[in-house]
Amino acid sequence: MNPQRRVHRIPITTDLSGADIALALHDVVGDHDGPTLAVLSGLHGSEWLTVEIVRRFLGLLKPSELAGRVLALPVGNPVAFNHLTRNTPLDESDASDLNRIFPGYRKTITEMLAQAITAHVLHPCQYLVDMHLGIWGATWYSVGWPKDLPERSKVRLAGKMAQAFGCPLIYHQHLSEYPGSRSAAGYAGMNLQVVPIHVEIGGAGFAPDVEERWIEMNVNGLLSVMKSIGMLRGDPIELDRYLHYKHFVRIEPSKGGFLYPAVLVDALGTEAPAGTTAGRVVSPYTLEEVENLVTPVRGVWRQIARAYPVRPGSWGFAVANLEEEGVGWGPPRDL
Amino acid sequence: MTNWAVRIGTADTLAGARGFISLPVTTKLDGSLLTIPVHVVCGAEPGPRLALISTLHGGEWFSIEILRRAVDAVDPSRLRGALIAIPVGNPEALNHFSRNMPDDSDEPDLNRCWPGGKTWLSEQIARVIAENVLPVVDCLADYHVGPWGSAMGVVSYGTDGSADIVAKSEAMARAFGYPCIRALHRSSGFPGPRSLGGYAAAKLGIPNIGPSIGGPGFGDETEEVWLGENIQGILNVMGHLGMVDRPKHPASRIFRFHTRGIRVVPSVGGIIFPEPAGRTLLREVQAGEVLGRVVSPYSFQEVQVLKSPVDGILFGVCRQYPVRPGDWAFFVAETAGEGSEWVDG
Repeated sequence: MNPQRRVHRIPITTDLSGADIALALHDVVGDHDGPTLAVLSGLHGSEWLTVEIVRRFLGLLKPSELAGRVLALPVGNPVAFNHLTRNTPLDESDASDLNRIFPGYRKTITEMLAQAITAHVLHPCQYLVDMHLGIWGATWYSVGWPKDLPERSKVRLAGKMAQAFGCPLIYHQHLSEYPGSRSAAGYAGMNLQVVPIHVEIGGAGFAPDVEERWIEMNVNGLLSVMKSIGMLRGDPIELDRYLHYKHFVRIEPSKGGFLYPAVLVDALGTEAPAGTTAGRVVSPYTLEEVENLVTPVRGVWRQIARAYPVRPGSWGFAVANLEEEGVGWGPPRDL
Repeated sequence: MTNWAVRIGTADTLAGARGFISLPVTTKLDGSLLTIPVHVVCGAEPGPRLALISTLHGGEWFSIEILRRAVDAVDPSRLRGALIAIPVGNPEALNHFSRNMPDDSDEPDLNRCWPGGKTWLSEQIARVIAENVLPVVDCLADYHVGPWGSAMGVVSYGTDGSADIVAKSEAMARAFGYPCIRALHRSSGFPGPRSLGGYAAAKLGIPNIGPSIGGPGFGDETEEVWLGENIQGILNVMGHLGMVDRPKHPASRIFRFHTRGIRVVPSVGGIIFPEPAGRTLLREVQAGEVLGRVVSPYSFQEVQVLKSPVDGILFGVCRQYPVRPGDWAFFVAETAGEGSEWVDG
C-alpha cells in the first residue's frame, strides 16, 4: 500500500440488518508540507454525481506535486446513498438530514455519521469544500462564499477559494442562515476555524456530454482551489467577471405532476427578466396544465430542471436575485 | 358520423369526442381519494378499441409522456374505433418513484396481481381497471420502460394463448415497426398469468403487446428519438388495426427472440459505468464483450466487470448511475438462441 495514498475505514455502527455501516475516507499525503483540504461529497444520498467528481479528482492528484494533505469523503451518508434519498431513511428522529446536525450528539445513525465526520474530517482540516448538486432531474450552478466566518482573514480566503473554482455565480452566503450553523460547512467554519466553501454545480439525468462538462468543471475547480491555497503549483482560475449575489429565489412546483422546463440547461448563468416562464407542470392524470412556474424577480439562472415527475416542492428552478442592492456582475472581489 | 360511444364506468364518451374519466379506487390513510385516470378518444366511426396502459410500475414513468403525445396526436374526427389511455396505472407507486406499491402487502407488484379482488391497494387498482376498462377493450398495449438510468428496446407479445390471439398479438408487435420483438409465454411464463398482458390474453382473449422502448436519464436528444419511435409505433399499430388511414411502416428487418433475454446486471452495489459497447440499444455484442464495470463508490476500486455471456443483441442498456445489487443494467438476446431469427418486417 502506498503510505501517501490510503483509504481509511471508519466504522460507525451495526444496523438492524447486521450490516456494518462505515465511512471510506481517502487520504492523500503530499511530498511537501502544506495545509489539509477536506472534500465532502454525498452528505445527501441523492446527490450522487459528486462521487464521480471525487473519484476523478483523486485520480489526478500526485503526492510528488502536492503540498499538504487531501482528505476526501466520496459518500458522506452511505445509508441514504443506498436508498438514493436526501436524508437517512427510516430515521424517525427530528434530525435525519446529515447536513443540518453537525457535530452530532445523539446515537442515531445520522448523528453518529456527523460525529465521525467531525472527528476524522473536519477537525484535521484547515480548508473544506462541501459539494452538493442536483439529484436525478435537476442541476445547480453556483459556488458559495461564506461571509459570516468569525475572522475577516478567513472570509477573504474563502472568497479566493470560491472564485478560484471557476463558476461565475458567486453566492455571498451567510452560513448561519443557510444551510445553517449545524451544516458541515457552517459548523466547521464557525467553530473549528476551517475555511469552507459550498459548491453546487451539476446534476444527473441529462445528456452525457452535458454532465461531462459539469464533472470536468468540478474537477478543475477543485484543482484550482488547491492552487489558490498553495497546495498545488500554478495559477488558479480567475474569470474576468463574476455575478456576486446575496439571495436566490426558488421557483418550484407547489403541485405534483410532470414538469416541463421552458429553459434548457444551456441557460444556466444567463439572465432572465422577471416574469419569465421557467416551466409548467402538467397533470399526468388529466394531462392538463396545473401550474405555470414564473420567475418572480429579475435574476440569473442558478438551478434548472429537466422534464421529470415532481411532487409538491420538488427541485425545479432558481434564480440569483438581481433586484437587490450590491448585486451584479463584476471583476473578482477581495472582500 | 355514426352514433356510438365508449362507456368507462358510468361515463359515455360519444362519437367524435374526447373524454376523461377518473375511476375511484379507495380512500387512503391521508384522506385523499385514490383514482385511476382514463382518457378516451372516441372515433367518429366505430372500430377497434385500443387501450394504452402506462406506469403500472411507478418507476417507469417515461411512458407517461408517450401516452400524452399519443392521445394528443389522434384526431377523433378521423378515427375509427377508440383510443383508451391510462397514463398512470399506479399513482401511488409513481408518487414514490418505486416499481411496486410502497406497502407491506402480499401483492405489491401491480403487474403480478390481475384481475385483483383482494383489498390490498394493488389488487384494488387491478380490479377497478379490470371491471371498468378491460371489458370495453379489443386490444391492448401495456407499457414498461426503463426507470431512471436504464432503457429498454423491445416489443413483446405472447405465444401461449389461442392461435387467434397469438396471431393478432404478433401482428400488432410486428406492425409497431420496431426492429426487435420478443415472443414470450406471457400467460404461463413471464410476466405470468397474473400480469396484465398475461391475464388479458388468457382470460379475456384480448390480443396485446408490451412495448418497452426508452427510459429517462439519457438527455433530450436520445430520449426524443425514443419518444418518437413510440408514437410512430402506436400510430403504426392503429393503422394496422384500421383505426387510422396510414401506410404501413414495417421495420426493414426485425430480430425476434423467444426468451426473456439474459440479464447482465450487477450483483454488487456501486457506480456502474457502461462501456461504449453497452450504451447503444440493439447493438450486436459478442460473447465475452465487456458491457460495463461496477466501481465501488467507497474504495473506487473496480468490483465487478459485466460481460455479455453470449453473442447477442443488446436490448437493455444503462448510463452511469449508482446501482444496488440486481439493479437494471443490460439485457442481451442470444442470437443463437432457440427460435431467435432475423425476419422481414
